[in-house]
This record gives sequence, C-alpha cells and structure tokens, in this order.
Amino acid sequence: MRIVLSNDSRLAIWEQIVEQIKDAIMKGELSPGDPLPSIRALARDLRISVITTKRAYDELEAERFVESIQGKGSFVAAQDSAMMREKRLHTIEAKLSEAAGI
Amino acid sequence: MENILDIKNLRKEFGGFTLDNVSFALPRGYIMGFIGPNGSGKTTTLKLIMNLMRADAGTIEVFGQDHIRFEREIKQRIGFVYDEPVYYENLSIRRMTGLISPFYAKWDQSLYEDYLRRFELNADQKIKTLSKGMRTKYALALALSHGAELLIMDEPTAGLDPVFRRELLDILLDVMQREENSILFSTHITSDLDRVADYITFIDRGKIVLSQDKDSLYEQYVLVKGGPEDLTDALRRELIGVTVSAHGFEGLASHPVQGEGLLLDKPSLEDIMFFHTRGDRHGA
Amino acid sequence: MALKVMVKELRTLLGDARSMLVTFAAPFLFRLLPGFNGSAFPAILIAYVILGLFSTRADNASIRTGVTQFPVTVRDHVVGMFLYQAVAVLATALLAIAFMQIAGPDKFMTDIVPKALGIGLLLTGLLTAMGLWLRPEVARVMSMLVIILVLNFVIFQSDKGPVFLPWLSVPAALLGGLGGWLGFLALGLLNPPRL
Repeated sequence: MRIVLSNDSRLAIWEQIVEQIKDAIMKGELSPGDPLPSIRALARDLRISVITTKRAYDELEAERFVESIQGKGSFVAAQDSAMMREKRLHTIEAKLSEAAGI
Repeated sequence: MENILDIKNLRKEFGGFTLDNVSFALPRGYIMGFIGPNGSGKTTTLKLIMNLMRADAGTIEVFGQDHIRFEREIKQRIGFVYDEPVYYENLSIRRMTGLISPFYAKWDQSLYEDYLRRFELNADQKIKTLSKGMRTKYALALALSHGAELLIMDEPTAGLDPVFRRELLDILLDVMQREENSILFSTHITSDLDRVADYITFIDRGKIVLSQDKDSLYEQYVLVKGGPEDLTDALRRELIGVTVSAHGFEGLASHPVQGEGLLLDKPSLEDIMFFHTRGDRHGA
Repeated sequence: MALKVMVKELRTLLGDARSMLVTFAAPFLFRLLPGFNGSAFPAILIAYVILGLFSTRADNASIRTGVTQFPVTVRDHVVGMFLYQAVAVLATALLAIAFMQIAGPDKFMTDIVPKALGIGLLLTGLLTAMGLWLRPEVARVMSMLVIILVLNFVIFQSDKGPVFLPWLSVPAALLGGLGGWLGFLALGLLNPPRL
C-alpha cells in the first residue's frame, strides 16, 4: 500500500492518509478483506503520531471503506458495486468543485 | 482511557525558582513530548515524579498509585533515562549492569544483550570512557530491559548527533508498538517531537502553558505572516507573540485570523514555543 | 530492598580488587613499621579498614547513583549503606580475631577486638551520617581527619598495658557502639538527605 505524505499539503496528515487509502481501494489496489496495518504499525512506519493514524482509520470506518474487527485489526470493507459507484461519483464531484474553486 | 501518569497542582519552590500549579496527565499507550526552554521546570518536574525531591503541594500518581507510598513498585515499572546519568564510573558496563539487574524482578538479560549489540556497546568498556552518546545508549538499554511500561526521558537527545537522534526515535516507536507502553519525553529540541509525539505539554517559567494532543494543537495554532503595514493594532492584540522586521512580521495566533494580504501557515512546535516565550507579547 | 542495597555495596567493594588489597592487606604490611606491630594492632586494622571504606567513595555522590540507577527509595539506600558499613567492620573484626589466633593471642592487648568493634561501629555510624549530609569533598576530608585522629590514638595505646582501654568495659563499648550506630541510622531515616 502506497502512502506518501507531504508536509506542505493543505490537507492534514490524517486527511492525506484517508484520501490515499480510499484511492487505493477504489482503484482496486486494495481488495475487500485485505488487512490494513495496525494503527501503531502504520504510525511507526510513517513516523507519525498514533492519534493521527487512528483518526484516519476512524474516518475511513465512518465512510464505510474500512471495518475493524475486535482483536483482529482493520480490513478493507466489502464494497458493493452500487455503493462503489456512488462513492466514485461523490469523489468526482468533490474534485470538480475543488478545481472550480468552490 | 487510563492515565499512566497523573500530576495535579504540583508546586515546588526553591532557590528563586517556582514550579507553580503544574497539572497534566499522560494516557496509557501514547508518547508525550514535554517541551519548554532551558530552565523552565522540566527536569524539576521529572525529579519530583521520581521522588528525588519532595513537592511543597500537589499529587503525582503513576499507574494509578501515589508515587511516594508506592515508590518501589512504581520504580520497577519505570525506565528512566536521566540527562546526565551518574554511574560507578570505574566499573565496566558489564559489572555495572551486574549490580543493577538483581534489583529488577522482570529483568530480561537476553533482551538487554540484544540492545547492547544493536547500540554497538562493548560490555567490557569502562563507563568513564564512554562518550555522551554511548552513555545515553547504555541508559536506554538499561531502561528497556526490565519490562518497564513507562519510559521517562530527560533530554535524551541533547548533545547527540542528528543521526542518532533519528535512531532513538525509531527505537521509541518500536517500544510503542506495545499498547501498554507510554513515553514521557522531555526536550528543548522540538523537531524530534514534531512528528512522533501524540501529546504535547508545554511548560515555561514553571507554569504549564498548554497540554493537549498534537494534532489539535496544529489545527488550533496558526502562523500569521504579512507585510509591515498589515500589522494593525487590532491584529497585534490577537497574536500571542510577534516578531517584526523591516520586511514584515511573523506572529502566532491560537485561532484562525482574517485579514487582507495575510499569509497563514502551519506553525512548528518550535514556533509555538518561541512565540509563547520570546516573541513580544501582543506585539508590544 | 535495603538488604539488596547492602549486598550491592558489598559486591562493589569485593569486586574492586585493588581497593580491597589496599584496604585490607596494607595494615599487615605496615606491621613492618614501628608502632604498627604493637599489641594494639587489631584495633589499628579495624580503624584502617574504616579509613579505606570512607575514602574510596564519597557517600553523597554515590547516593545519586544509588537512588537514580536503582529502583529504591532514599531510605532504602540509607539503611543499606549503614548495614554495609557495619558488615564490613564486623568482617574485619573476624579477620582480626583470626589473625590474632595465628600470631598468638598473648601478643595483643586483652579485650581489644570487642572494644575496637564497638568503637568502630560508632565510628561508621558517624562517618556514614557525615557522608550523607555533608558535601562530598567536606565529608571526605572530615572522615579522614576523624580516622587519622582515631588511628593515632589507637597506635598510642600500643604497649601501654595489658588491657585495651581499661577504663571502658566490653559491654559498654559494644552497647555504646551499637547504640550510637542505631542512633545515627535513626537520624538518617528521620531526616533523609536531599538530592
């Protein structure tokens, strides 16, 4: 899984992580059921705070991209194609608005 | 969420310096950066936690226990790295460790030896011949080899080269893979903490300025920059501190500020510390 | 924990071969010198060992290490130090007895070991207390002064008569010594040194 963080981005670190993981899922680089690194392991690998990675994972869970199973960790959630399509549309909309400066 | 360290209303007065109403807590499983300029009271606070000094008022609880009544039990579970550790200087590392290890119920000799190897320390070397960096590494090896759940480090990276500083941070991140562990890391070199700390407690002149999680700290504080004419009196009042030059000004605000031609930027921990302590207060 | 401190200090002492030699073996060498081979030698031995114990390590400096590197309270350290000194003096007394038996007990003053032990115990109490409260340099100088005075006094006793310090009874010396030692220990516990 590719996560590359920028200190200069206008997005907070946790937002960058959320975006990049979402991208990976929607592009199919990550499949439903794939395990994600633990929040601590990710924090160590990216050399950031565990609170940040936890926040990113919480957000991903809230948006139903990721689910966590007590005692086992976090996994890519099963995506049904209707939901995927909806999410893709949502993302495209968001990016268009961004480009238009709204 | 349980607090591994809970300090309330700590007060200590001595030799012209006062630690005044210091309170903060470190939840279990996180790293807290304890930052402040030299002489701000960091070392005094740590000495009070380890009962090397008695407070005039206030309470300190470690692992939920009063730090004086349960001093021995608590010290078993704490790994402490002092700023300038004092050992029996004529002894070799091996002999010094041989005196220390019997005191710890959870001493792990093979883990300790792993650390020695990893830090490239020679067990037969006499302690008085160790460089500052090696002494810190030795202190760290000792601190990490008896199952400590709380690591307290007083300026561990002061006087060390940047390469080792990074290595040290990697080691600490490894330690934090266990959720039961916590680290209290006091330093005036904030770049170490900019990325890896979970919580930041900032002390200045014996008083706690702030104590909160690092992410919200960055979201809250903003570095405001502008040209000389942009620094209105109204703006000055909103800034915690400001520095002015012929070309413009730079200041810190604890909330987003509006203004024409102002550049807002993310402050570093160093900026936050600097403007609280040195930049002119309210630009005056 | 205090016992562990005592053991640790003993191990440190025993591990330092050069110090051990200088402290314990030197007096026997000194027997070649006039004054040292007299009938008061066992007391000289005890006094000399105490001198050695107190000049090798400034107790206030070792308190820093003792409490920062070891998971003990200051009180543990104080009690441990007192116990360690007492054990060292006791061991020296036993060494003196053994030596006397070998060399022939009639060569030495009567009652010398028990009385020297009692005084030695009192002395270690005093010196340990000084080491804990005075600055290291001051403590070291004071300790050496005290012991040199005592040493001279003891040497002076040599060959002065068959009984060592006839004005002092053995029970008085032992009880007084133990009492004094306990007194200094209590003082140390009630008023632990600050770091």
